[in-house]
Amino acid sequence: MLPLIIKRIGYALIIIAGIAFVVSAMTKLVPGDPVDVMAAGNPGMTEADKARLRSQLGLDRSMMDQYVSYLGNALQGDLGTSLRQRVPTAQLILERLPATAELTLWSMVLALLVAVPIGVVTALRRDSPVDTAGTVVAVLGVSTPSFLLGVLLILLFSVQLGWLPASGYKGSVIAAIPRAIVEGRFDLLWQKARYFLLPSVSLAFGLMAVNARLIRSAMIETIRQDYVQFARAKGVPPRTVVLRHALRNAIIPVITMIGLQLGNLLSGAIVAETVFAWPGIGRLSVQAITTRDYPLVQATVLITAVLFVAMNLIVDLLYHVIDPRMRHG
Amino acid sequence: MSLDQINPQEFLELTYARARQSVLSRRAVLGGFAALAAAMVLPDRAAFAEGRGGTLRIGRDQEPDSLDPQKTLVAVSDQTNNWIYEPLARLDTDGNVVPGLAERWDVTDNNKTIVFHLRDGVTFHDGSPVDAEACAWTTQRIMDPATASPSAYLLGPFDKAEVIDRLTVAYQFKEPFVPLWIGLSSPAAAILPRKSIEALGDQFGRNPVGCGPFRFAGWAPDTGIKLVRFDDYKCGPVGAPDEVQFLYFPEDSTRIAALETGEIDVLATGQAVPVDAVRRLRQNGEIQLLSRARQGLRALVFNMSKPPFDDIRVRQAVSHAIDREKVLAFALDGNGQIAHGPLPTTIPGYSKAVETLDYAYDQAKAKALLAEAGQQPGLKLRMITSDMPPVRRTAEIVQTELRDIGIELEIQSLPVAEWASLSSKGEHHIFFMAYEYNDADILYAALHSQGSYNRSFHKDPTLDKLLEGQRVAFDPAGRQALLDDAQALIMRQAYWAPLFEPLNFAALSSAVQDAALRSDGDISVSTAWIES
Repeated sequence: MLPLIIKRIGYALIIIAGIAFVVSAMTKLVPGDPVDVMAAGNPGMTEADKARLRSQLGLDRSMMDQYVSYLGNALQGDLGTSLRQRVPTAQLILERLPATAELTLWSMVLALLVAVPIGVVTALRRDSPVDTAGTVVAVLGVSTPSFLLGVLLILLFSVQLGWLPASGYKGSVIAAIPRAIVEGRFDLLWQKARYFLLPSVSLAFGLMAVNARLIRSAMIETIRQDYVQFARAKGVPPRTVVLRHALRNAIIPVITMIGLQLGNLLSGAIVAETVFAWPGIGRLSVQAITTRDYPLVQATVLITAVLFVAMNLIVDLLYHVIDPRMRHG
Repeated sequence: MSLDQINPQEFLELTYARARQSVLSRRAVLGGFAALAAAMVLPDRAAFAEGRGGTLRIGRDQEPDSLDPQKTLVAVSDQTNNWIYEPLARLDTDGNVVPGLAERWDVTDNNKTIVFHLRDGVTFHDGSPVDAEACAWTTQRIMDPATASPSAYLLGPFDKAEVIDRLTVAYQFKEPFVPLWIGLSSPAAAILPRKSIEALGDQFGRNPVGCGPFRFAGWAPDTGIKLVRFDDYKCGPVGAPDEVQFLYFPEDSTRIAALETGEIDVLATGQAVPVDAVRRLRQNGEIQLLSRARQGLRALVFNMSKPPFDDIRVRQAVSHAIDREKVLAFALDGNGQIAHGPLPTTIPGYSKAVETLDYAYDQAKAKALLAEAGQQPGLKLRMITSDMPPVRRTAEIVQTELRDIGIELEIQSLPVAEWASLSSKGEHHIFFMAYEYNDADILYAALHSQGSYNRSFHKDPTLDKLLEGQRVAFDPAGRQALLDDAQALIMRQAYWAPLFEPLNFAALSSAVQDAALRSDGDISVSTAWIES
């Protein structure tokens, strides 16, 4: 498997370099620069003041000149300094990545915990009332925008019932687990987990619906296969047929999808982060784009590209683990 | 007589008068909004509340970019830095220049140098002394190109600061500078600790150290910004709350829910209280709503560099076509005041005469004017607006009104960067002007042919002359006469169609005591406290 990994990483590096180029070109092509944004609320600033500031910030250098120095620095691990926040962009990203990553993780866990049973049951009980109910939930899930669900959840669970906080992030749940187990401080764990509940439910709902539908159709396809019929005929217990024979094969297309979904979530669930005031990558990139903070735009795009490519690499490798045929393909 | 020849006392009076204009006076507020007067009782700095203590949790719709005051130009950063840093002088709620770090000052060198006498015994939060040396170093830093300070322009023709003795420093300007206090009282010109800045490098903006009423105690994406009262504060009364936390909620409904559920105690600054939530908050008995007139204006600006707005009749037609009562009711739920001229009533220099030059709502007249100008129904026009929700709603009402007189208005609602850049290219027909400013000199920026914010692209030598004149007229009556003429000319020529003057709002839980809304839209953090 090692040569395969090396080959894939090689491809990934080329893709990432390409993305870096396209993004730096694009950010310079859209109208408006960081100084335009700074001056927008300050009509007292004259054209001469703006020109002075542009030159001090190095924005008057040619596009090619800026790109080359950016690439050179990036290769040495320096992703540049934010023009607005005036701290290294890597620092800004590292501060926010854990919040996004953990929200991604819990949303996906929650989504799959519900989606797998629903997908399997609706496939086995095709055209029954259970299947219809599953379809209704799936349609609801796919068609409910996460911001609407988020706001509704806040109104119900925070404002009306007062059970959960309306928004915010109070640190990692994963980091709190060891202490909860060792010292029995489950109260501390709950203090953090309660902030995750509403945002991860609002993100998980849509994911759950899509994945349940995917699992359902993949399962229907698989249980029709001869080997499943054969296993049944042979007298393998139904539970083993479904879980061992059918689900294992049905899950392959779903894994591809999950890989893409994870990549997507890691680049920041912009809407959910905004609704729940979640300090994640998505909001950081939106802020960077709105204020034309070029180094920060480039850095966030670069990091999310790396994460996306990495997720896909992992998915590819997972195939090889799940499906032995691919090892020789 | 020029500015460098008048006597220093007279010069200082002029600078004070200009500073007062930059802060909306209490009288102007009460005159315009008598009904709101009860909510706007402003405590004096000295007449301090009896009670104190508690942690004040303040929800905002924006987050500071950097808390290095020399490296930011964002209002919400200034509104945070106001409490951490101390400038040489501050402006009180009525715009009077009051001592800050400096206890007094005199003017010398033909009004080009201000000599500040600093308070003795003041220290930064890091323990280092605040002295003339610190002032000189601070000014060198803001003028240094390596700092790339966006706020340096506030100091105007500042040249350098010279240390006279341990507690005396001379700020030298290249020429006498009347609006001097506006820059010097802002956090951008606050005195900074060399020791901490050299130790922290680019992390200073994340770990600010000043000598203001509150000491910085932390800033993390999850917990927001935390300030703790500085008990050794020497430049005024010590702050009332024990702690202040600034939390950032980008989404309106979440922010309001957080106040309603008691997760935060205050909503203030920017659009933290969106205008469409005012009715709901006002009905909530647990919440106090403060409002105060804003030094801002919303207006339509006609691009006169191309047809059809090069014809005064078309400009007048559009001005007559818009029912501002309707705009106010639908876009702002009634929370604002109709505007009659290019300045709001809240900026000193407003000319009352513009009210007689008003273009009353009259669609028949508007249609007649369009026909007279030879414009056929179905005229297609394009308007550039920012994407702020109240602005967008206003633009849609304008669109409906113009449809009634046969104009098809296309609205281009843009994020700030595109809005700033595209509007300066002049491809639009109408520009939706939304400004906040503290001086009538905004007319120069927005209407002089060389103005940096001129979006009507016209050249009117008479107007240019009036606007240049008000910049150098230092006797207040003379300046007012020029401003009166300029405003009358702008309205007679229908260069702009004024729409409304917006309000600032803050919402507080009923447990918050002694909070007042400042003219910059922030609450007076250092006087407010909360029962714990």
